[in-house]
Amino acid sequence: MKKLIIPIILLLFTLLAAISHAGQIRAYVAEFKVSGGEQPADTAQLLKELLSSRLSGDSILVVDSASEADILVSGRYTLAGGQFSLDSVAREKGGKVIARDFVEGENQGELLRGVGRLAARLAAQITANGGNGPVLPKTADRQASPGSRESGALPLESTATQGVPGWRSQRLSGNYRGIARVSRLPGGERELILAGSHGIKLFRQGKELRQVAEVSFRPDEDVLGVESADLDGDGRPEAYVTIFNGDALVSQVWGVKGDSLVRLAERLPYYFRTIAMEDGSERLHAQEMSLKSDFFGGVREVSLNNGSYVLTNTLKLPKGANIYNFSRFRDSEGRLLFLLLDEDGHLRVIGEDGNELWQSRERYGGSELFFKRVDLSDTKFGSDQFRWIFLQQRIFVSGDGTILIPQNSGAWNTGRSRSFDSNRMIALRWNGSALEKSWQSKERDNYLADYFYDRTSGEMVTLEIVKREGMFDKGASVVSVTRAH
Amino acid sequence: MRGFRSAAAIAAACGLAVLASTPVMAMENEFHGAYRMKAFATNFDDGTVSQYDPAGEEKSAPTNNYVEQRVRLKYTAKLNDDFKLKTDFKIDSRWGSGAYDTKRKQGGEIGSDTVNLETRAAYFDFNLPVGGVNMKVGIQPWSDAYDGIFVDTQMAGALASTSAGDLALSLGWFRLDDAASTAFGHDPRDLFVLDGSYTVNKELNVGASYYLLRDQITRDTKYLAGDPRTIPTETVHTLGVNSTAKLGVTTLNGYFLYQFGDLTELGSGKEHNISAFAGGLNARAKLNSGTIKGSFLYASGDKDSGGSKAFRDVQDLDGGTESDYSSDMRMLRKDQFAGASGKAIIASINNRDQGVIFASAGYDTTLSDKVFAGANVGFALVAEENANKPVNLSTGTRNSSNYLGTELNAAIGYKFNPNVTATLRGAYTVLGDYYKGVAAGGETPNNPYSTSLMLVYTF
Repeated sequence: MKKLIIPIILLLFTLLAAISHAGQIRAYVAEFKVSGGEQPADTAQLLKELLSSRLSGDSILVVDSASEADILVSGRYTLAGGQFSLDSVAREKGGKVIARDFVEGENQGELLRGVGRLAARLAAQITANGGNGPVLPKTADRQASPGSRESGALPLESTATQGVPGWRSQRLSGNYRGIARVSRLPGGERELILAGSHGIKLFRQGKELRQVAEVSFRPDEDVLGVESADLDGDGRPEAYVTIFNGDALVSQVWGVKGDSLVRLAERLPYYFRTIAMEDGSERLHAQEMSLKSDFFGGVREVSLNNGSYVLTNTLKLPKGANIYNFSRFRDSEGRLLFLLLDEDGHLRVIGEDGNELWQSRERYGGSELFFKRVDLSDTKFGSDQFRWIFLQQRIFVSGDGTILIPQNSGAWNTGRSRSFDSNRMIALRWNGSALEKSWQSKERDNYLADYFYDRTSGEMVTLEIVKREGMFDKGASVVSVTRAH
Repeated sequence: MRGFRSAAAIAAACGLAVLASTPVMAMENEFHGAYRMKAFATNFDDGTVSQYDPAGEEKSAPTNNYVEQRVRLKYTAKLNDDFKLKTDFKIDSRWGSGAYDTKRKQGGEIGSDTVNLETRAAYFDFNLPVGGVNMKVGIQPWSDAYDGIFVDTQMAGALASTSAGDLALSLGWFRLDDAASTAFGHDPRDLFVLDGSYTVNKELNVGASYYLLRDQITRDTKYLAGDPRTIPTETVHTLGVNSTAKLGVTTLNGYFLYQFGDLTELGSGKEHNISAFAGGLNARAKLNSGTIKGSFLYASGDKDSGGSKAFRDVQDLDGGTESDYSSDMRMLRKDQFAGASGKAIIASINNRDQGVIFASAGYDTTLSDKVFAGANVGFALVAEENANKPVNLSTGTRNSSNYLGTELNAAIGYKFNPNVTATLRGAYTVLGDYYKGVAAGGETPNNPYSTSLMLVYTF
């Protein structure tokens, strides 16, 4: 019997190890091929180690030999003219490519961050495409019970189809800047409002996106966004359109009657934004503008009282927050924490006492949408007599604390004309000390202008610019629906 | 050994900067800039920033056809929200204007190769860890809270700003110019500013200011010593109040400034007590898809020599520092889009101690998503006549009229995208009898005009 104890213990450890790694894809990272630079042998080994440690995570286990691995990851480091490129590919043992990506950097100081970005992109593609490894399990915090959706839980999962649009509209002429869901019709059609720069259009989503109605505003009336909320309780949400006329906010409310859009209110001096916060529900909020401040007073909830819109429940916000750049969530101990997207796109977590707990190194959000106000105080430095105010992307917080946020990548600070050329949706969770990525969609080579999460269907509906407006070209947009579970 | 190799490889691959400190990696580089090109056909502009002065000149000024361009490049090194280095550079060139030289406003001649990069601003913008105080230290832009009629320029100095609730305060010191040959700091011209503003509610702001312009016995400062020195020595205390209010669709901005202090007359050395004032009222209101606007400005003048009763503004080499942003004049006041060309009938609010009475009205509109247009009319007089008024050469005396003229201007533009516009601009001024008979031979100068096609790219 004693002779059997050691083999049994070894077997138990092996089983435990096997169980603990069940559900993970085993990956082997080979030495990089290096072109350019000094000490190529050391750099090749170093990059292998850097990528291995960053690739390793909940979904991927990096092993020490190719024979143990489900997939093989190889890469090349190229240094030319001070710039570098990291190119990597992941293959199944049979040779089938399941992930391929690259990052570039202006200088070697960006190398560490570049390796991290490359690892994140490869990991997303590897987990999405699965390889020959085991199917990824649903982690507990990502699972959604049937009731959790009603309570606002976001049922994001890692599946082979994550982030792949299940439906995509036809190419729509023009660059739209906002999207909101109106309602689901009995036949199952989804009604959508798309906002252009000077008007809104009502669409119905069937096989294609069918335009039903359209209204145009004056050329000086710039649409800054469109939201939906059913404040009158008729079961069909109204569209709240934020409009700035160069001098003041002159927002409007529109309802859908049959196949028509009907104006319900106008010249409302508010920014409107539907914000999903810690309790998982989405509520329409508003904020005002003053003579000097672009965002004046608190962010307040909008309600309809005897036919008049009233603002109640002023939110206590951290410094720098406005209606477009914040949300809230609760940590595992029930403490309320604020999310703030700063003007450079860094995501900050701030405690109720105003102390910053964490700041992302990556940029999130990112919007090309802005409006201009006359500002004669900075004409000497500002080149013109306007102050440019950029808006930010929505931060969706589900009832279970998952934070959904888009990530547009491209030029942030090269002038006022921001230009983003790719996007992905990312889900984050707070681990008590920092936000961790729990899910991300595939990167798409378009600028994401706006999105909403349809909690009734568990789908993300995104509005992307597929061709920018030019001097003589209206550009084009597309709406995509992506199942999030 | 393995660790050493790894460390060596890290240093080789990542560079010493990365190893030195993490914040370096967090640096944000922000770039802005603009290109503005203007093609002129004008008998008014001549590529200079100066005061229109037809006295003794030919009645019919020649038509100048030329092109000038201005490039602005701005770079901000942003360590984080609390520490920023801000810089602003400018390159002005008139096409065909010199090459292989070191001079402003040149480099447009064949071959180009000219050192003409001008530093407009270079300053450190940072937040103190306590008190919510923002500091700006260095060569920086600064404008007063009064349409910039007192000062609106770039200056070297330090400015501290803070806010407490609805109250905002700023305190600053600027060194305008210093001695060129005597010990530094002994005879400088300095400006101290204290500004406060209070937001009463979202539609009402009130503010107050105290500015001290302290110009001691400036014998040899670079700009002002000249031979002869062009402005008197002075210590000017300026008190101001201002308010901006929104009434319905109309935004009103009113202000009043009073000045007192001491002034030493040029040449005679005679001393005077300063007592001068200026006030203005601007209004703008939305009207359909456009904006209707109006403005009024009064700045006191001095009929006697010395100018102690004339509103004193801060002067630099080009004269007054203000630009006209409220009334959108092209000729009566300094064009807000002035570049190498910035001639104006009223080049400074002091206006050679004559002061100013000015009113304007205008309308700007958006005709479509791409097309915009605007038109303005302005009227200007000197507040007081003095020895600086030109003489009517046909009568040998100064005209009784203080009326400088009426400007009519219009513009229509096309917006290629939010960053690129092309605008066709035209302005015509009917000269007042202030200028009657002042041209050569006692002739009255022809009315000036200025037309230009302006192409702007801002990023």
